[in-house]
Amino acid sequence: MGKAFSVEFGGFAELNAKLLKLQADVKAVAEEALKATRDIVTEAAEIGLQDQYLPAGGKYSKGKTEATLRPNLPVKWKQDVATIQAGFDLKKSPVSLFLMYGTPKMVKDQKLYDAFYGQEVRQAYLAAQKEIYDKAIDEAMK
Amino acid sequence: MKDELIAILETFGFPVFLQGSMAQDAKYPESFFTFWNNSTLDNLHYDNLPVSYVWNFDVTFYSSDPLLVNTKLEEAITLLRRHGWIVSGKGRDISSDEPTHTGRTVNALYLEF
Repeated sequence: MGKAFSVEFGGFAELNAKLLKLQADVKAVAEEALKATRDIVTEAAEIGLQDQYLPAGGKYSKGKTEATLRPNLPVKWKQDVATIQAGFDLKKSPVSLFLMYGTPKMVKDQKLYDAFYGQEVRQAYLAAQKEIYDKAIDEAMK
Repeated sequence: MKDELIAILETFGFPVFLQGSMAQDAKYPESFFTFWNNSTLDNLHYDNLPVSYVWNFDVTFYSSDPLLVNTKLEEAITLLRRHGWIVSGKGRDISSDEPTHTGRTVNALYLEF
């Protein structure tokens, strides 16, 4: 189970245009922003796998699910659009899916779900993306 | 809003449960809906007070009949949209914890003013 993320903070188009004008390496800046996004989501997912958020307090399969978390997925480019994935390797184990959505007999792990779809984590990675672009502009203007 | 959602889903004639609320030893009905409230965030504010909320639910249909799994959630999506719910896409497959049943789930939002 994975989700693709892109650079999407408010004002991205303007800051990217500014970087292009300053002849900065926009590709490198985008990749840095996406890797920061992936790391924030992955870290939030790791928190979601802590015992207190897991069904039965993490009695079942916690270690196995943690082992399927893919921490270092690369940035992918399709023409000028970059995305990065964060998530689990379902080929190793489908347990993360059960945790994310629950079952009729098992309450979902809301903290884990929110790592990928919640507003708090989204606001955190959007802020990190903007910070990286602001910093890149400052450096390009030196 | 939960009551409204349950009332809409109940019109299909299947039981409606909170996701995760069935007992471990309970037998699944042949077909049923579940729901789960992911969040209820503030949407708009006036005078520093929230005046609108976004209700965010998972709506899932499980059945021992794979054909029903494919069709019933789509019918539910259509009905939810008719009642003002915002449903993106047609859903995704989801496993159950019984080998006899499969399911489909979708995310449904409602803006409360």
